Amino acid sequence: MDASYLLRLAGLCFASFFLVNAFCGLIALACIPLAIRTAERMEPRAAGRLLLAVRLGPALFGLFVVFALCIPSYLWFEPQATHEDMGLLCAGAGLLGLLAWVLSFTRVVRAVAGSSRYAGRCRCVGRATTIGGTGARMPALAIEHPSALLALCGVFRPTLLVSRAVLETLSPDQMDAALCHERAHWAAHDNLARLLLLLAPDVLFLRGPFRALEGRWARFAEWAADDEAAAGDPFRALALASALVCVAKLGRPPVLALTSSFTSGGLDLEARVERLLRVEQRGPAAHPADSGPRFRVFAGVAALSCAVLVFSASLLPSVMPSIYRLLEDLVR
Amino acid sequence: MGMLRFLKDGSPDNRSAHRGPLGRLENEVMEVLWSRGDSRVQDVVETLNRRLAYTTVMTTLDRLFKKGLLGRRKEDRAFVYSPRFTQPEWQRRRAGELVAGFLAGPQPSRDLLLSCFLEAVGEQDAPLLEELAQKIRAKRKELSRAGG
Repeated sequence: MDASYLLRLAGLCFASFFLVNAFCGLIALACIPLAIRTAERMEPRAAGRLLLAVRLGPALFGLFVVFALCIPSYLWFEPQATHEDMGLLCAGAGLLGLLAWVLSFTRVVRAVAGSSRYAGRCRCVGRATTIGGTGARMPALAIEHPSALLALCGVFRPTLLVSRAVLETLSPDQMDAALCHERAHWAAHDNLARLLLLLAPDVLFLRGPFRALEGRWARFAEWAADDEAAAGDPFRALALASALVCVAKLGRPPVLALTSSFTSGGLDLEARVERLLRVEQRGPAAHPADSGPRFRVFAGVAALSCAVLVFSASLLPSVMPSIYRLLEDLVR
Repeated sequence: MGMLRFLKDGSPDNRSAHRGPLGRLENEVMEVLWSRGDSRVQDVVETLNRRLAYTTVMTTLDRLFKKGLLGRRKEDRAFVYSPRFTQPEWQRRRAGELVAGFLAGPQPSRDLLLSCFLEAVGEQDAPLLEELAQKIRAKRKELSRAGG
């Protein structure tokens, strides 16, 4: 394999990704109002997943096209000895695709660095402990600081950061409810979802329209964690609501990209408290244990179906050559 | 491009407008121009609240012109000065520059700015938090009554 062969392949991959992401992204953009309306009628956790799918869908489909169709058909049919110049469209789209990924990775690196730096500083001044009463116990890093810090920081091995002020302010009931809330974020991998949202390349470099969607997702993630912590019990909901207000009164914690903060920087606090005060009217909330495995089974079946579909398509004699011809047209 | 614009309207480039704070007299003169609109030196001298020499005001107007805050044209052998920004535009610019200056600085100055903002916002939140706390107290009473 010579350099120009690989360079053409790379160019084709980035160009295909850029075009597919742009096409699907524009469809997703058009669907955002409908998706938000639909999500508002759903349970918060399911609503969050729907919005996450709309945001990540174009990029995932773009990656699927590149890895499942473009690369195999190119490697299969493109003779290695040929020397072919890349057309302007392909080169331009390839560069834009590359730029979109560079921007995404830059965002992620900055966010990871910011969170790691902050967690590192907390580790220096904090002490490892276990907090919570009989209801919920969690390992945490207690920090001698008078701030309103109660947050789950990090993606794969999140650390619960809690400040002395929060430990001193919350009653055992409130602390249990707050820990259940943070545990719900942990179980739902919300920080990983935040990372994926940062990683998803922009559609035609338009970040603004998807910001609204990401904001709604963050809101539903908080609502879902609230519901799961309250577990349909009005007393637990009340303890959680009063914990929210107590922590918010202490001030605002630092805003970090890959962190689930208990009060979310004070955003949407009123709506969250009002929802919690209505718990008895809404009845028991869906417990994560009810919806989690169902979603995982659904995701597994969907992934398996895609894999089977691609494998069957690649066996059809006409599929891969057609894709290769499309790529050839794109290169020219 | 800046030279072309300068030749066209006889004023410094918009982008090169002075970014620093204005002195007391400069501020007063700008206030006069914002309230009166196009003015000659004599108009400004007459409108100012304190008695100042014609040449002092003329020098100040010339300085503001050179800083890019005023435009001027010649009419009957005298300059007519006009503000190049409205008062809100100028204030917005100054606020933007202040924030940009902090954000371009080292991390501690950025943190300081953000914490000041958050503190200011936090102060506005106090009535809301009190209202929410009251609702929680009322709900607790309601649940206690229902429970026992």
